Amino acid sequence: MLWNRLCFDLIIFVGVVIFSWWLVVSAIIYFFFLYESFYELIFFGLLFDTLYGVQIGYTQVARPVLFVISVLLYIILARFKQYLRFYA
Amino acid sequence: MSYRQDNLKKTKNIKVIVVLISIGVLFYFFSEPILSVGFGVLSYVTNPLWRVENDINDTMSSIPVFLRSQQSLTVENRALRAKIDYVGVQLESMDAIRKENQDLIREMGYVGKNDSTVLVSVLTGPNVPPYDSLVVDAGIDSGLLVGDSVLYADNVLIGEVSQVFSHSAKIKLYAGNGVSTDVIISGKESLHAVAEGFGSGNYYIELPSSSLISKGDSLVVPGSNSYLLGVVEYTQIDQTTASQKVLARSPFNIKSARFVRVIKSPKINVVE
Repeated sequence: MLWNRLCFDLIIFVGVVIFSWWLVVSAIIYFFFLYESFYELIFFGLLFDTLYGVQIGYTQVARPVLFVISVLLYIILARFKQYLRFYA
Repeated sequence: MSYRQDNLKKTKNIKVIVVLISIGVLFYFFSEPILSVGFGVLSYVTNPLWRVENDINDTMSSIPVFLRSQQSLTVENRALRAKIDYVGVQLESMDAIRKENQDLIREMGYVGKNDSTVLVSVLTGPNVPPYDSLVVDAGIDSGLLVGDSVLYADNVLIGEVSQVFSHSAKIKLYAGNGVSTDVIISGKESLHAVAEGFGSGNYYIELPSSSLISKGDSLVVPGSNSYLLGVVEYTQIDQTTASQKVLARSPFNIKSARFVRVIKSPKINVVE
Protein backbone atom coordinates (compact mmCIF):
# COMPACT_ATOMS: atom_id res chain seq x y z
CA MET A 1 0.00 0.00 0.00
CA LEU A 2 2.85 2.36 0.85
CA TRP A 3 4.55 1.62 -2.47
CA ASN A 4 1.29 2.32 -4.28
CA ARG A 5 1.03 5.64 -2.51
CA LEU A 6 4.63 6.54 -3.37
CA CYS A 7 4.06 5.64 -7.04
CA PHE A 8 0.97 7.82 -7.19
CA ASP A 9 2.87 10.64 -5.48
CA LEU A 10 5.56 10.41 -8.16
CA ILE A 11 2.95 10.43 -10.94
CA ILE A 12 1.30 13.51 -9.44
CA PHE A 13 4.71 15.19 -9.13
CA VAL A 14 5.31 14.67 -12.85
CA GLY A 15 1.72 15.78 -13.49
CA VAL A 16 2.32 19.08 -11.68
CA VAL A 17 5.21 19.75 -14.07
CA ILE A 18 3.63 18.57 -17.31
CA PHE A 19 -0.16 18.25 -17.14
CA SER A 20 -2.95 20.81 -16.78
CA TRP A 21 -3.54 22.08 -13.27
CA TRP A 22 -7.21 21.06 -13.13
CA LEU A 23 -6.33 17.45 -13.98
CA VAL A 24 -3.69 17.30 -11.28
CA VAL A 25 -5.93 18.95 -8.67
CA SER A 26 -8.72 16.47 -9.47
CA ALA A 27 -6.27 13.58 -9.01
CA ILE A 28 -4.99 15.00 -5.72
CA ILE A 29 -8.52 15.36 -4.35
CA TYR A 30 -9.35 11.83 -5.48
CA PHE A 31 -6.32 10.41 -3.68
CA PHE A 32 -7.16 12.50 -0.62
CA PHE A 33 -10.36 10.51 -0.27
CA LEU A 34 -8.61 7.26 -1.12
CA TYR A 35 -5.85 7.44 1.47
CA GLU A 36 -5.75 8.26 5.16
CA SER A 37 -4.09 11.57 6.17
CA PHE A 38 -3.10 12.60 2.67
CA TYR A 39 -0.68 15.38 3.69
CA GLU A 40 0.75 15.26 0.18
CA LEU A 41 -2.11 17.65 -0.75
CA ILE A 42 -0.29 20.38 1.20
CA PHE A 43 3.06 19.40 -0.31
CA PHE A 44 1.69 19.67 -3.86
CA GLY A 45 0.20 23.08 -3.11
CA LEU A 46 3.68 24.15 -2.05
CA LEU A 47 5.12 22.56 -5.20
CA PHE A 48 2.83 24.66 -7.42
CA ASP A 49 3.97 27.78 -5.57
CA THR A 50 7.63 26.83 -5.88
CA LEU A 51 7.50 26.10 -9.60
CA TYR A 52 5.09 28.75 -10.84
CA GLY A 53 4.85 31.36 -8.09
CA VAL A 54 5.57 35.02 -8.83
CA GLN A 55 4.38 38.29 -7.33
CA ILE A 56 0.64 38.77 -7.56
CA GLY A 57 -0.93 42.20 -7.70
CA TYR A 58 0.79 44.69 -5.44
CA THR A 59 2.96 42.26 -3.44
CA GLN A 60 6.71 42.79 -3.70
CA VAL A 61 7.65 39.15 -3.22
CA ALA A 62 6.12 35.89 -4.27
CA ARG A 63 3.74 34.60 -1.60
CA PRO A 64 2.76 30.91 -1.30
CA VAL A 65 -0.91 31.48 -2.02
CA LEU A 66 -1.63 27.95 -3.21
CA PHE A 67 0.11 26.50 -0.13
CA VAL A 68 -2.27 28.42 2.14
CA ILE A 69 -5.24 27.36 0.00
CA SER A 70 -4.11 23.73 0.19
CA VAL A 71 -3.86 23.92 4.00
CA LEU A 72 -7.41 25.28 4.21
CA LEU A 73 -8.61 22.74 1.67
CA TYR A 74 -7.05 19.94 3.72
CA ILE A 75 -8.86 21.09 6.86
CA ILE A 76 -12.20 21.45 5.06
CA LEU A 77 -11.98 18.15 3.17
CA ALA A 78 -10.81 16.28 6.29
CA ARG A 79 -13.90 17.56 8.08
CA PHE A 80 -16.11 16.66 5.12
CA LYS A 81 -14.62 13.18 5.02
CA GLN A 82 -15.90 12.46 8.52
CA TYR A 83 -19.48 12.87 7.38
CA LEU A 84 -19.17 10.50 4.43
CA ARG A 85 -20.79 7.16 5.02
CA PHE A 86 -17.94 5.43 3.23
CA TYR A 87 -15.59 6.27 6.10
CA ALA A 88 -18.02 5.75 8.97
CA MET B 1 -11.57 7.99 35.53
CA SER B 2 -12.65 7.20 32.00
CA TYR B 3 -11.46 8.90 28.85
CA ARG B 4 -13.94 9.13 26.03
CA GLN B 5 -12.23 8.20 22.76
CA ASP B 6 -14.23 10.71 20.75
CA ASN B 7 -13.03 13.54 23.02
CA LEU B 8 -9.43 12.45 22.54
CA LYS B 9 -9.95 12.32 18.77
CA LYS B 10 -11.58 15.75 18.78
CA THR B 11 -8.66 17.23 20.73
CA LYS B 12 -6.18 15.69 18.31
CA ASN B 13 -8.07 17.10 15.31
CA ILE B 14 -8.13 20.57 16.84
CA LYS B 15 -4.38 20.40 17.52
CA VAL B 16 -3.71 19.33 13.91
CA ILE B 17 -5.85 22.20 12.59
CA VAL B 18 -4.11 24.76 14.82
CA VAL B 19 -0.66 23.49 13.81
CA LEU B 20 -1.57 23.56 10.10
CA ILE B 21 -2.98 27.10 10.30
CA SER B 22 0.08 28.31 12.23
CA ILE B 23 2.43 26.77 9.67
CA GLY B 24 0.37 28.30 6.88
CA VAL B 25 0.46 31.80 8.36
CA LEU B 26 4.16 31.68 9.27
CA PHE B 27 5.12 30.27 5.91
CA TYR B 28 3.09 32.87 4.06
CA PHE B 29 5.20 35.69 5.48
CA PHE B 30 8.63 34.05 5.63
CA SER B 31 8.64 31.81 2.61
CA GLU B 32 10.61 33.70 -0.01
CA PRO B 33 14.06 32.16 0.58
CA ILE B 34 12.59 28.67 0.90
CA LEU B 35 10.68 29.00 -2.37
CA SER B 36 13.76 30.37 -4.15
CA VAL B 37 16.01 27.57 -2.94
CA GLY B 38 13.25 25.07 -3.69
CA PHE B 39 12.97 26.18 -7.31
CA GLY B 40 16.73 26.20 -7.73
CA VAL B 41 16.88 22.56 -6.61
CA LEU B 42 13.74 21.39 -8.43
CA SER B 43 14.80 23.03 -11.71
CA TYR B 44 17.38 20.27 -12.21
CA VAL B 45 14.45 17.86 -12.49
CA THR B 46 11.72 20.08 -13.98
CA ASN B 47 13.72 21.84 -16.72
CA PRO B 48 14.52 18.59 -18.59
CA LEU B 49 10.88 17.52 -18.20
CA TRP B 50 9.66 20.79 -19.69
CA ARG B 51 12.10 20.49 -22.61
CA VAL B 52 10.93 16.96 -23.31
CA GLU B 53 7.31 18.10 -23.15
CA ASN B 54 8.00 20.90 -25.66
CA ASP B 55 9.77 18.49 -28.02
CA ILE B 56 6.89 16.02 -27.84
CA ASN B 57 4.36 18.80 -28.48
CA ASP B 58 6.35 19.94 -31.52
CA THR B 59 6.43 16.40 -32.90
CA MET B 60 2.74 15.77 -32.25
CA SER B 61 1.72 19.05 -33.90
CA SER B 62 3.44 18.03 -37.14
CA ILE B 63 1.61 14.66 -37.40
CA PRO B 64 -1.64 16.08 -38.92
CA VAL B 65 0.45 17.40 -41.84
CA PHE B 66 0.96 13.82 -43.04
CA LEU B 67 -2.80 13.29 -43.19
CA ARG B 68 -3.51 16.22 -45.47
CA SER B 69 -3.65 16.15 -49.24
CA GLN B 70 -0.83 17.63 -51.32
CA GLN B 71 -3.20 20.07 -52.96
CA SER B 72 -4.36 21.58 -49.66
CA LEU B 73 -0.76 21.86 -48.48
CA THR B 74 0.22 23.62 -51.74
CA VAL B 75 -2.67 26.09 -51.40
CA GLU B 76 -1.79 26.80 -47.79
CA ASN B 77 1.90 27.19 -48.67
CA ARG B 78 1.09 29.80 -51.33
CA ALA B 79 -1.19 31.72 -48.95
CA LEU B 80 1.47 31.70 -46.21
CA ARG B 81 4.20 32.91 -48.61
CA ALA B 82 1.96 35.81 -49.73
CA LYS B 83 1.28 36.66 -46.09
CA ILE B 84 5.02 36.58 -45.27
CA ASP B 85 5.74 38.95 -48.16
CA TYR B 86 3.02 41.33 -46.98
CA VAL B 87 4.19 41.24 -43.37
CA GLY B 88 7.79 41.73 -44.51
CA VAL B 89 6.83 44.96 -46.28
CA GLN B 90 4.91 46.14 -43.21
CA LEU B 91 7.92 45.36 -41.03
CA GLU B 92 10.23 47.40 -43.22
CA SER B 93 7.94 50.41 -43.06
CA MET B 94 7.69 49.99 -39.27
CA ASP B 95 11.48 49.90 -39.01
CA ALA B 96 11.67 53.13 -41.01
CA ILE B 97 9.09 54.79 -38.76
CA ARG B 98 10.89 53.56 -35.63
CA LYS B 99 14.20 54.92 -36.91
CA GLU B 100 12.59 58.26 -37.69
CA ASN B 101 11.07 58.31 -34.19
CA GLN B 102 14.46 57.65 -32.61
CA ASP B 103 16.07 60.37 -34.74
CA LEU B 104 13.44 62.86 -33.63
CA ILE B 105 13.89 61.91 -29.98
CA ARG B 106 17.64 62.31 -30.35
CA GLU B 107 17.15 65.76 -31.86
CA MET B 108 15.16 66.72 -28.79
CA GLY B 109 18.23 66.00 -26.69
CA TYR B 110 17.49 62.54 -25.29
CA VAL B 111 20.45 60.36 -26.16
CA GLY B 112 18.87 57.04 -25.17
CA LYS B 113 20.74 53.90 -24.28
CA ASN B 114 21.97 50.89 -26.15
CA ASP B 115 20.17 47.87 -24.77
CA SER B 116 21.51 44.43 -25.38
CA THR B 117 18.91 41.70 -25.72
CA VAL B 118 19.01 37.96 -25.46
CA LEU B 119 16.59 35.55 -27.07
CA VAL B 120 15.47 32.89 -24.59
CA SER B 121 13.23 29.87 -25.00
CA VAL B 122 10.10 29.48 -22.92
CA LEU B 123 10.02 26.26 -20.90
CA THR B 124 6.48 26.60 -19.61
CA GLY B 125 3.74 29.16 -20.05
CA PRO B 126 1.06 30.64 -17.80
CA ASN B 127 -0.72 27.40 -16.91
CA VAL B 128 -1.50 27.72 -13.22
CA PRO B 129 -3.95 30.25 -11.80
CA PRO B 130 -3.56 32.69 -10.06
CA TYR B 131 0.00 32.92 -11.38
CA ASP B 132 0.62 34.43 -14.79
CA SER B 133 4.26 33.59 -15.27
CA LEU B 134 6.68 32.13 -17.74
CA VAL B 135 9.72 30.02 -16.94
CA VAL B 136 12.56 30.58 -19.39
CA ASP B 137 15.68 28.63 -20.15
CA ALA B 138 18.18 31.33 -19.24
CA GLY B 139 19.31 32.76 -15.96
CA ILE B 140 22.37 34.29 -14.31
CA ASP B 141 24.56 32.44 -16.81
CA SER B 142 22.99 34.53 -19.62
CA GLY B 143 23.29 37.81 -17.73
CA LEU B 144 19.64 38.19 -16.74
CA LEU B 145 18.78 40.38 -13.77
CA VAL B 146 15.61 40.92 -11.74
CA GLY B 147 13.61 43.70 -13.36
CA ASP B 148 14.81 43.16 -16.93
CA SER B 149 12.02 43.84 -19.43
CA VAL B 150 10.75 40.98 -21.56
CA LEU B 151 9.45 41.38 -25.10
CA TYR B 152 7.68 39.15 -27.56
CA ALA B 153 9.00 39.68 -31.09
CA ASP B 154 10.68 43.08 -31.18
CA ASN B 155 8.08 45.42 -29.87
CA VAL B 156 5.46 43.80 -27.64
CA LEU B 157 6.18 44.20 -23.94
CA ILE B 158 4.87 41.26 -21.94
CA GLY B 159 6.49 41.41 -18.53
CA GLU B 160 9.66 41.56 -16.50
CA VAL B 161 12.07 39.14 -14.91
CA SER B 162 10.79 38.33 -11.44
CA GLN B 163 13.24 35.74 -10.12
CA VAL B 164 16.58 34.63 -11.53
CA PHE B 165 18.36 31.36 -10.92
CA SER B 166 21.57 29.96 -12.28
CA HIS B 167 20.12 28.47 -15.50
CA SER B 168 16.50 29.61 -15.53
CA ALA B 169 14.31 32.56 -14.63
CA LYS B 170 10.69 33.35 -13.90
CA ILE B 171 8.95 36.12 -15.82
CA LYS B 172 6.06 38.02 -14.25
CA LEU B 173 3.52 38.93 -16.95
CA TYR B 174 1.95 42.37 -16.93
CA ALA B 175 -1.34 40.73 -17.88
CA GLY B 176 -1.35 38.88 -14.54
CA ASN B 177 -4.22 39.45 -12.15
CA GLY B 178 -3.88 42.68 -10.22
CA VAL B 179 -0.70 43.92 -11.97
CA SER B 180 -0.99 47.61 -12.90
CA THR B 181 0.91 49.17 -15.78
CA ASP B 182 1.01 52.81 -16.88
CA VAL B 183 0.06 53.09 -20.54
CA ILE B 184 -0.77 55.63 -23.20
CA ILE B 185 -3.81 54.77 -25.32
CA SER B 186 -2.99 56.06 -28.76
CA GLY B 187 -5.99 56.50 -30.99
CA LYS B 188 -8.03 59.58 -31.84
CA GLU B 189 -6.39 61.21 -28.82
CA SER B 190 -3.51 60.16 -26.60
CA LEU B 191 -4.70 59.28 -23.11
CA HIS B 192 -2.71 58.31 -20.05
CA ALA B 193 -4.27 55.41 -18.20
CA VAL B 194 -3.50 52.51 -15.91
CA ALA B 195 -4.03 49.03 -17.36
CA GLU B 196 -4.96 46.37 -14.81
CA GLY B 197 -3.99 42.82 -15.70
CA PHE B 198 -6.90 40.45 -16.08
CA GLY B 199 -5.09 37.21 -16.80
CA SER B 200 -4.49 35.33 -20.07
CA GLY B 201 -3.17 38.38 -21.91
CA ASN B 202 -6.15 40.62 -21.10
CA TYR B 203 -6.17 44.12 -19.61
CA TYR B 204 -8.88 46.23 -18.03
CA ILE B 205 -8.93 50.05 -18.05
CA GLU B 206 -11.45 52.42 -16.59
CA LEU B 207 -11.73 55.92 -18.07
CA PRO B 208 -14.16 58.82 -18.03
CA SER B 209 -17.06 58.29 -20.41
CA SER B 210 -16.06 61.36 -22.45
CA SER B 211 -12.79 59.69 -23.56
CA LEU B 212 -12.68 58.86 -27.26
CA ILE B 213 -11.61 55.22 -27.35
CA SER B 214 -12.37 52.80 -30.12
CA LYS B 215 -11.59 49.21 -30.97
CA GLY B 216 -8.12 48.83 -32.43
CA ASP B 217 -6.47 51.63 -30.44
CA SER B 218 -3.00 50.68 -29.20
CA LEU B 219 -1.82 50.55 -25.60
CA VAL B 220 1.73 51.85 -25.60
CA VAL B 221 4.10 51.86 -22.63
CA PRO B 222 5.55 55.36 -22.04
CA GLY B 223 9.23 55.61 -22.84
CA SER B 224 11.61 56.20 -25.70
CA ASN B 225 11.00 52.76 -27.19
CA SER B 226 7.18 52.94 -27.06
CA TYR B 227 6.63 49.26 -26.62
CA LEU B 228 3.19 47.91 -27.46
CA LEU B 229 1.31 46.35 -24.54
CA GLY B 230 -2.03 45.54 -26.10
CA VAL B 231 -4.83 46.50 -28.44
CA VAL B 232 -8.29 47.71 -27.42
CA GLU B 233 -10.91 45.04 -28.13
CA TYR B 234 -14.05 46.25 -26.44
CA THR B 235 -15.41 49.42 -24.85
CA GLN B 236 -18.56 49.95 -22.84
CA ILE B 237 -19.94 53.17 -21.40
CA ASP B 238 -21.52 52.86 -17.97
CA GLN B 239 -24.19 55.54 -17.72
CA THR B 240 -24.69 55.14 -13.98
CA THR B 241 -21.09 55.93 -13.04
CA ALA B 242 -20.18 58.10 -16.08
CA SER B 243 -17.20 55.90 -16.76
CA GLN B 244 -16.04 53.81 -19.66
CA LYS B 245 -14.84 50.23 -19.31
CA VAL B 246 -12.17 49.28 -21.78
CA LEU B 247 -10.99 45.73 -22.37
CA ALA B 248 -7.74 45.24 -24.22
CA ARG B 249 -5.74 42.20 -25.07
CA SER B 250 -2.23 41.30 -26.04
CA PRO B 251 -1.76 41.16 -29.84
CA PHE B 252 -0.70 37.50 -29.69
CA ASN B 253 -1.57 34.37 -27.71
CA ILE B 254 0.85 34.26 -24.78
CA LYS B 255 0.28 30.54 -24.28
CA SER B 256 1.76 29.84 -27.72
CA ALA B 257 4.94 31.87 -27.16
CA ARG B 258 8.02 29.69 -27.63
CA PHE B 259 10.71 32.39 -27.57
CA VAL B 260 10.87 35.77 -25.88
CA ARG B 261 13.45 38.52 -25.86
CA VAL B 262 14.93 39.86 -22.62
CA ILE B 263 16.41 43.35 -22.55
CA LYS B 264 19.45 43.09 -20.33
CA SER B 265 20.00 46.00 -17.98
CA PRO B 266 23.37 47.67 -18.35
CA LYS B 267 25.75 46.64 -15.60
CA ILE B 268 26.80 49.51 -13.37
CA ASN B 269 30.44 49.45 -12.33
CA VAL B 270 30.86 50.98 -8.89
CA VAL B 271 34.19 52.73 -8.53
CA GLU B 272 35.36 52.90 -4.91
